Amino acid sequence: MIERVDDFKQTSLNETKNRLLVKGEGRYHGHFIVGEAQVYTNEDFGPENLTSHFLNIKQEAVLKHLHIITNQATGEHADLRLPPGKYRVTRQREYNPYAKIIEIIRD
Amino acid sequence: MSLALEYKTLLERDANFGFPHRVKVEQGMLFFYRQLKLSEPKVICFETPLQLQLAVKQVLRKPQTLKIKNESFEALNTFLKEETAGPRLNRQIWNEISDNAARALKLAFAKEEGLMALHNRLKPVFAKLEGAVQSKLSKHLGEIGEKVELFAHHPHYFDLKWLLHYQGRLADIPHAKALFEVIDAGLMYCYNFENLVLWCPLPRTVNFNPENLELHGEDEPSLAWNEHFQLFHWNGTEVPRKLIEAPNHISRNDFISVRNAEVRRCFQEKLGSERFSQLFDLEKIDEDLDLQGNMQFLYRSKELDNIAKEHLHFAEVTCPSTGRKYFLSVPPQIRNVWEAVAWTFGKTKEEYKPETEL
Repeated sequence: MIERVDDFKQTSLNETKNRLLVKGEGRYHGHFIVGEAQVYTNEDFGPENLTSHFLNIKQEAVLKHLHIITNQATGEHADLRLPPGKYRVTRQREYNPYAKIIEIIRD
Repeated sequence: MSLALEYKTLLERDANFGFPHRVKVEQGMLFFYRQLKLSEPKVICFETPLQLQLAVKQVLRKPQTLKIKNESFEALNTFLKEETAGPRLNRQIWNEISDNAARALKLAFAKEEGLMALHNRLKPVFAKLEGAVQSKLSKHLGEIGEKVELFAHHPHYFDLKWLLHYQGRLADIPHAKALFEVIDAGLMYCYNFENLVLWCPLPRTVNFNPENLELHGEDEPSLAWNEHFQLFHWNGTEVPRKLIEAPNHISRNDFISVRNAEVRRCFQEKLGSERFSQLFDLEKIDEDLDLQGNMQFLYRSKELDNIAKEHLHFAEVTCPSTGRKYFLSVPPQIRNVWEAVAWTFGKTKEEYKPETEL
């Protein structure tokens, strides 16, 4: 989930050049941010803090679902346009009733 | 011929037809060594890409804990006792083929249209196969603390992407003819040393879904080399063998223990909603429209689960981007579908106001 936020504390985050926000497992697919955007990773990311990234988008950027090897669109998702602003990327979690633990859902 | 069948025919080397043709591969490899003015190397075929990886590591004297006993490894052990493999030769073979096959073909048939069109058409299909194999190799080798060794760039089954364009005219260029024959005879990957060539064949089974050209096997492997090295895919997503070969034996724990959302969705698709509901003996306890107008549901198992000792709760949601439906397990105290979905994002139902979901 991507949500617009008023601000975020950039000092507590690590800026990264990696445009891959979420990597699909076993399928070589991933969600990439394309455009003029600063991407920050959240070091505290985990089942109790589901924010994986913050985005500072300077000019309209596009979230694309691409094949990691060919860089071609997978066709699974339409491109998603993100207007300038600050955003939070939140991953989804799930409860494992057998292990009694909370786990991040993998893409 | 459908595209799925065309790609299957292109990449599959059915053992029923005698593939791989080991003698032809060996003859082709010897051709390249002769061009480099080198003496004939020992050529050993390994059944699978994983066996080839382990063989390469053995020659490179990299420690490994996984040992396989078969004729190929016996031949390799015997060779290494009596001789040395010599330095790696992948780069020299690459140069030889690059200069005298690829470039020579371009010069001989310059300005031909269609080469890039063919390359671009085949590229995604080859990428799917390569991605699946590399992913499997990484997983297996990662389990023993190893990394994947890079195979030689030539000969490599990727060469088909351009060789096929010149099919029928390859006889004019001996290097190109030899290269095509090596791959047509079944070579997928190889690793070259001065005195030793190690290689493995293309899969004996390849299956794509005709509708979306993704790796897919309804009730058989999507890719198989032998009984032990097989991959199972459902519409491009690798899934457990049991889901494809014994879906009626899938247990609750088989599903719950899968953490990948796409693999979960494949379970749901393969099993079907009815079987899935039966598996968990679910009853609906809440429902509502989501913000996109799709129904979302909260289910609970009718009985206490024997192992978990609690009722199992699932939210059934629809991905707003793909329209795909997912069952997500949520804590048993949740009674409201909005509360359930909000919880999966770490929010309360009052806080959960999604703008964009991936």
